[in-house]
Amino acid sequence: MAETSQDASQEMTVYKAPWAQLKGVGDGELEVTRTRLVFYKKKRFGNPTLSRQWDLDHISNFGLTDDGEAIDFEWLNGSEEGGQERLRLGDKDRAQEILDQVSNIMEEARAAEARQQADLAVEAQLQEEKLYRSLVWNTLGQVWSITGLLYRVVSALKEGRWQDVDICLQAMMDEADNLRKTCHIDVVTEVEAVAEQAAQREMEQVVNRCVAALEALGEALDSPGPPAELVKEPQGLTAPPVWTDVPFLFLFGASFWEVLLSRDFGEFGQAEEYVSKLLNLAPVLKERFGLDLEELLWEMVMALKANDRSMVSKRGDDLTKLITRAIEHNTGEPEA
Amino acid sequence: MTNNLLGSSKSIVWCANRHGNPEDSTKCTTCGLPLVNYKWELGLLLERLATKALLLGPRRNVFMGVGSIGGLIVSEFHKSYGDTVSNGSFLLVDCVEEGEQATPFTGVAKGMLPLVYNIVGTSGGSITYGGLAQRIAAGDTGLNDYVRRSGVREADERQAIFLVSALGGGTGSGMGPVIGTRCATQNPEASVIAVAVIPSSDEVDHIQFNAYSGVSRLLRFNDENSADMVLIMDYERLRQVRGVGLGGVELRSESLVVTMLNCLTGDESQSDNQVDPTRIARMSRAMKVQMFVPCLAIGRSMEIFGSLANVLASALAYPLARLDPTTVTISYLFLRVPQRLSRVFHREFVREEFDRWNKGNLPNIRESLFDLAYLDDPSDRIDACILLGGSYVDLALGPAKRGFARFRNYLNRGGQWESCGVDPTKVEEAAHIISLYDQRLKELRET
Repeated sequence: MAETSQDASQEMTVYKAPWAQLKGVGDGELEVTRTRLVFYKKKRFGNPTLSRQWDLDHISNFGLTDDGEAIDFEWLNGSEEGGQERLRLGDKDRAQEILDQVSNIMEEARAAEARQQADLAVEAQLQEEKLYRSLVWNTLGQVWSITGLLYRVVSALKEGRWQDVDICLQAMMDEADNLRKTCHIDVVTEVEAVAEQAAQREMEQVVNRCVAALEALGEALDSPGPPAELVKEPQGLTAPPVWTDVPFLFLFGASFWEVLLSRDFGEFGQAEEYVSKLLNLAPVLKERFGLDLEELLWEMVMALKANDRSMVSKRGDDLTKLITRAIEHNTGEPEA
Repeated sequence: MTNNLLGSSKSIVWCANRHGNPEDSTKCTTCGLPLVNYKWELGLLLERLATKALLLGPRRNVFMGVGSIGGLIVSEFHKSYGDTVSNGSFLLVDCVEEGEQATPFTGVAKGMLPLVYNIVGTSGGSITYGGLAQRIAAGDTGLNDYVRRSGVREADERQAIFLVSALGGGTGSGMGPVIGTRCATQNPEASVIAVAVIPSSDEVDHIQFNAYSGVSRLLRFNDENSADMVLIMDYERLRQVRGVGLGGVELRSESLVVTMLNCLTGDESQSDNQVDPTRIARMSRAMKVQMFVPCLAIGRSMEIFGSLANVLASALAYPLARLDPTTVTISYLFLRVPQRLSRVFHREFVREEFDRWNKGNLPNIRESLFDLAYLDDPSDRIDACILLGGSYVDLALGPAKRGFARFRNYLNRGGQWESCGVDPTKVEEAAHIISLYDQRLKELRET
């Protein structure tokens, strides 16, 4: 029996045949709702009683018999029970009417299901893209931060500020740990090597290990997509940010910190050379992130030409704030 | 083949808008945004950051490779011993075609990354004549900066600068002496030690001309010494001499020079003596001896050779350039011995053996020094590097001198001085410098 647990009366009747004969059961009435076919068996005395009902989505091969006065169909319910039925309507028009009604309802149901599937697929895609973009922004933030810290360590060494070196390294260890956990980019060993040399106050070795850490980070980012186990690169995505924006921002960041470091070391010529590189990269940053840094960078050039350290610092801070704000805004970090 | 945002298998080359572009483009042909070669830029940034370590303090030993062979030797030295050279730095200088970009160092980084500086030549290809390369280097504005960034600065008398080059080509023979004088200007207290490979006797005349002129300029350039010591090695002999390295590997040619550099500058903590390159350079200056011929005995098994005297004899049997032992006035020995042989090879023993060997083989010897280092090596093999000074440059440069004379005659006949970047007076001066140096050696020996 294909009985359903729901009360058929809750369903709105869309068609009712006052007489129908269900093969093997007898005479009765047939009711069509939006979800079911319901057969009520007539009794000699009293009202017809519910005898059989079938969920429309369990029904297949719904069609007229050769004489056009009856409908044949097959059913298979969720419990793997099934069977074949013949409903005789005694009238070709009525049989055709029922066939049309049921076919329409089933078609509409199929269309609704297709729409739902499409909605689910879009939702899944949006979720995947959200996940992807979140990963990209997080990676951008952590990479920007680690890069800056590596350069700040070298800058602090210049003046023998070991306390600042230690503070930077602590922050760097945390960021590297986060980067490993959330983005599967592992530079923890390299950062630990920096810390190890710093603990021994080996100035030159600290710089060498910073170079090695920067190299490891740069090489880990030299890939066209994120770690495959984390998220799939969505197809055809061009709007920023995409994964390849990460190595780009890394290069931009490292070049920017190189400017400030060269200034700290009194290498104004080198600093100017790298500001020129930044100016070359700035249109890309504008295109990708809407960050217009050109004016700031030109002010840095002027300050470097004038050997104005404080103005270089000021413009450097402005630039850092702009980029950091853009990253924090998108990663949900509290903005400074 | 095109580049796009995702890049080739080598590295990312960007157009921010993912447009495809022809290879070697610098700007996107579609949107005009600059293209970025990731690996290239990363290499440059690493190099820049690495140089900051150099600026934290002066370098003790600076290794400069000039030209392709010089660069190769220093690169190999860096790869093999870069992490054991304490407080050292590396600079590779070469000449590139106009429009070509400098290639950052791409080898395995061991310790301090080498700096790479490519001087842009005026014409395509390598520079054939030393005179042209000398002119280009002298007019290059970036060279001083790179010399400074390699750690040559301030008046530090403990600094030794090794200038390694092959003198047959234009770059090594022409740029080496310019770099030597730049080093001397930036740190007048430093000791500049040129390691010069001279061409085989079968090389053509203009190559011999380069070598002869190059040695002359290393001895004296613009009325100044461009190198305190010039260690001359004949490429023909370098190919014949064989040594045994760690693990029984056969050492020849460039790898012997690499091992020699390591003998001269090896880990100070393993050295028993306080003889370092600056000390031998100072002594040589005082003795007015600049040119030295290295004699190497690398990886000699004590089981086979039996005694230190035999090892030293095997080194003298194959001097790396032509040498007359009877004219030698200075000898320096750098000896490296496995720790397990230290009981036999103690300081007094080595001193006695070396003195005996000097007296027996070098009748005019005036001064000698030795450095003894013990290595953590399970074998019974010892390395001996002897530098012998006082012999005549003319003798060491025999074939080069003849090639020089023939090429000078050729120039005199054809008058193509300008195309070789030299003028007749400078050529005469080159010959005069060498002749004067040898003459002075002779006088000093006779006094």
